[in-house]
Amino acid sequence: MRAPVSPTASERAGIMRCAGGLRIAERTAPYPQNADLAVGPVGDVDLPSAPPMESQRSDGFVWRRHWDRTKRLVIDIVGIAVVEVDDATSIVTFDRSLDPEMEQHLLFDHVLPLVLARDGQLVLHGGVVASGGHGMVLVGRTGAGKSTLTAFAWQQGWTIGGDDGAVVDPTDPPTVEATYPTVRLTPAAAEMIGIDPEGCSPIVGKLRLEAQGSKAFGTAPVQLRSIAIVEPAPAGEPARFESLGAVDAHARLFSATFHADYSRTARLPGVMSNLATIVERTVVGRLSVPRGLEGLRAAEQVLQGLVEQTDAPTRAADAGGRGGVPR
Amino acid sequence: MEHGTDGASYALPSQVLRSDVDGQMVLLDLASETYFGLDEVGARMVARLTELPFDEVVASLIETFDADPAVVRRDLDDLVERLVSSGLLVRVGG
Repeated sequence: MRAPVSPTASERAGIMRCAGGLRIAERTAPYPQNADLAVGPVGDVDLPSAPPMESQRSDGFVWRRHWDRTKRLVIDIVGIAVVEVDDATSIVTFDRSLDPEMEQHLLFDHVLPLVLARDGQLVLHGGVVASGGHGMVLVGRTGAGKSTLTAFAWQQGWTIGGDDGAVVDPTDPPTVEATYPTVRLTPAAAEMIGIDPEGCSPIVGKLRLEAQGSKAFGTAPVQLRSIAIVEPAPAGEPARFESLGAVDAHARLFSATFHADYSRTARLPGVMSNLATIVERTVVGRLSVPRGLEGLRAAEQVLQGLVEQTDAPTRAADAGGRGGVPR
Repeated sequence: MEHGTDGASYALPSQVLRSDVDGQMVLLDLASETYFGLDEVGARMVARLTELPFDEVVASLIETFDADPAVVRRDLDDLVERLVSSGLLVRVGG
């Protein structure tokens, strides 16, 4: 039976609408033909012989390798699974059966950003938050507190797009949208900020917040005003935003970018140029977020001050109690 | 070490990518996967080094900064020395 041109809700089931309108069908989707990419049957995936691009932890452990080939993208999440995205068939193949939670996590948090980057998008590893139509990206190393701050901002009335990936368009003004609508928290973080686990879905040891009613995710691109590099600080210290110089900002954002290819002849020059444009058209800085609930409150106030500001800050902003950025 | 004799010219090696950002410059060495940053003055120097022979760069910078020629040449020599030794610049002529 052929699906109609405009699928019904049931026919959209299991299909995630991602950044740029990309639709990805999970394995359980009853009508994967309505998606741009779909998970297919488990099957063998040949690893290319060419050197991969590697993602390393700070201790040097290579936790992911990927190959951007002419007709396919191959991703090896080391020790977990190998995934192939076939350009011709638009099928995503996992090399082994996985727990549905794990497969979903790999599909949207690993495959999706690289698919978007491979398509020429500038994708930063970070959360997307917005207030009054003005958006911000929260980047930072794993464990810095991006997701917790994103979720806390959501509770305070911010619109959030997601906490994992941010697709930035270096237009004038630049815009940003989340790779897909998600916020995942550790159970401890959820408890700290008062989120009821009953309203969440378990996902690979974390809790995925469910968008409900007035707390829906923002799916449309928003104007990007600031990029905050989240850095944890000891509890009791003030939350603080300190603008970075152009070179430092570029370097920090480069390290937070999903790179589909790391070669001179391909996308990297464009990535560097686009990052330079973003640095020139936004405010990029370090955001110190003290540990604990009070630290989150102070950091959120600093973020609010940044969004409301119309001019670029010329010195650091402190928020021990109420936030604000000097004009 | 003095550079720029006999009409020397310089260029970025093929494995080095350049991006100009807000008047400054970043150089990414793909071989070493290392980022280098240049302030406004350094950025201007490197930009001109990749466009003009060394001696013309010196003359151009003297005019731009209205500075002592000996100081300009010394500073440019120092920068070229550091960039060449770091593999970020190669001599291509002269």
